[in-house]
Amino acid sequence: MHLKVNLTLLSILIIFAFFKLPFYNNWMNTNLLNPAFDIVSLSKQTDLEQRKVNRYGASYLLCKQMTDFTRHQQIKNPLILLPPDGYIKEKRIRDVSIPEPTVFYYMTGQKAVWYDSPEVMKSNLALVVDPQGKLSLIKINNQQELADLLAVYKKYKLEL
Amino acid sequence: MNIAGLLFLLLTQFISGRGFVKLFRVQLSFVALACLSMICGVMLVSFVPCLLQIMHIPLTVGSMYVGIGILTALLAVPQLLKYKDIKLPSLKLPQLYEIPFYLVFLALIITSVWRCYYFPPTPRDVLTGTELIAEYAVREHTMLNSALTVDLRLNGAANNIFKSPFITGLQIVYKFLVQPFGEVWLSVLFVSFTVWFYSLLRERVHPVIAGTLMLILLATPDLFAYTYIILYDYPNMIFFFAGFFFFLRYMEGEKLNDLAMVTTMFGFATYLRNETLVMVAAIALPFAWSLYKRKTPVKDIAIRGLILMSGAIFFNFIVAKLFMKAFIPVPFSLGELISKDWMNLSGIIEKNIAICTDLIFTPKGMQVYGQFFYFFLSVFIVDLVITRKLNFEARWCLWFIAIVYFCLGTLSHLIPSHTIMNSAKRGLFKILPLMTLYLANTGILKRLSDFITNRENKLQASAGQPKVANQPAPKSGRGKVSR
Repeated sequence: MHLKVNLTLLSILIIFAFFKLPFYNNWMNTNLLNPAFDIVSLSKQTDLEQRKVNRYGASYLLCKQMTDFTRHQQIKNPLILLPPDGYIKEKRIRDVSIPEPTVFYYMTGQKAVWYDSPEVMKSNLALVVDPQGKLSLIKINNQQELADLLAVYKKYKLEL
Repeated sequence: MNIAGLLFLLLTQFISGRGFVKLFRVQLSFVALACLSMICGVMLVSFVPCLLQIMHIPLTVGSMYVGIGILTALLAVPQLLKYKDIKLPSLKLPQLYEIPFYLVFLALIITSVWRCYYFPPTPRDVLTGTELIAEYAVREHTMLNSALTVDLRLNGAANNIFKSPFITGLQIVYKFLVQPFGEVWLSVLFVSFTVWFYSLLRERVHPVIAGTLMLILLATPDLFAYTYIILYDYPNMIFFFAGFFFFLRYMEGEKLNDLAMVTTMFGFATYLRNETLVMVAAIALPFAWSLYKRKTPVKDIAIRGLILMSGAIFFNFIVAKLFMKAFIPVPFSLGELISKDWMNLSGIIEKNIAICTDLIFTPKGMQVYGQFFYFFLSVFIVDLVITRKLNFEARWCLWFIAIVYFCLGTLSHLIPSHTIMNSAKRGLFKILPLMTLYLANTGILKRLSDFITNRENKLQASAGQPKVANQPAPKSGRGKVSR
């Protein structure tokens, strides 16, 4: 029994020493015990939409706002022209990243395109940064407006 | 969450997996059998939506229950025929000194399972491929759905839809029967593998050492992250390790049913990540050499080599020829993926060096693997200096580690999209359990383990108690030591 108690203390010591190693201590604090992953507080937010927001963050909220807009405006067959990320960053919007069209479709069920998509000329909405420096969804009223937007967006490389 | 659906799946996965393993007539301990049954059951269930789709049956909650029910009933037959063989396991309580490790493992498991359940799928690789198809398969009741009408050629997303239907199938099943995010199947794999792997370590070294090794493996940051983030690499690691486990058994006893399990497990691993085919081909070389040294006739070596590779070839064919043609209406060309500089052999050496210099031994590598490689190298070098002996298992562990490493470097050279910082990084997961098992076979840890066990047994003998049976003596072959 004496040896078993000693071995138990040894086990505890090993575990303690392991999580005292600087790297694993940091991993434990920033990952395992991170308040953003706290099971008790997250278990109070079990709604599916909330869980998506908790994971995908601002990008998901932006996608939902865009789809709410198209539904509210009753736009038939909406096809949204998404800007390249470089354009958004240059306009000093850094707290949100624009999802690629496939991810946008996954999140919202609505189709979107980038400037190099084969269907880009059919887009009837566009996500732009307005003069106030805010992201907004605008209607594309004619081909000239679309061409102007494409000319701006094509200056930026499509990156993820 | 639909608890009834989850219980149904757990039960059917276990029964179908157990029936499947039973077909191979391999003798395993209760823990190994139970865990492997669950692991194989998850794989088998993943085929159901594809089979229903091929038969043009709409994918619904009802068709999932019926499909999985039929699969389970069919695979339960081998068990029912031999129902007299079913024995209840003798329950053994853990030793007092194991409990602190159990508590830590439990905490890690709860953390992983919770995150797996709570958060929706995240990796871009699945959101632009398999998960996208699965989500719309649930909404539209077919795998040939509107997800395939989105512009999939953008920024490599096309590659993601060509990936194995393993995740798609499981996501469809779990979305229908358990919860809208699916995913929980990954926790089933994680828990089964963790329990099985710990039992393997415990058979080889004293539980305190086994617990320490398991802790080091579990606390590998990226490996732990992929226990709750759905992607192919963690399940691929599990099936590759299962193949290795049966490979060791085959090399010990040369029983054909073990070889059949090897090829099946490597086949499943290839079904998840096609690159495994290259590794299985590379494994065939030391396999053939080892048989040759045992004076096996050349004809037999060729046949066994073919059997070894047949599973991987078959499942590669399933994905490359059947799945892609039947389910993905976008052309795929492997030739476009191959580097134009593939003949430059110095590139292979460069990539193999780069895995160490650009990934493993860098601050980024530390974020991904923690100090796992440093632990491994420390024990490896000390053992090399002090004992200079390798037992049967340790030797094969090192062979497999070298093969996986070299193949990943070679693939990174041949296929530019197989990047070191992504594909090779996660492909290296396969060597982590191999390294851990190697550590459990090193001379110094074995000596330490023997020392603790002997002291324990002596004390118990003097107190008139039965011997501690946590460490059975090595069986033939495993205990053999070669210099």
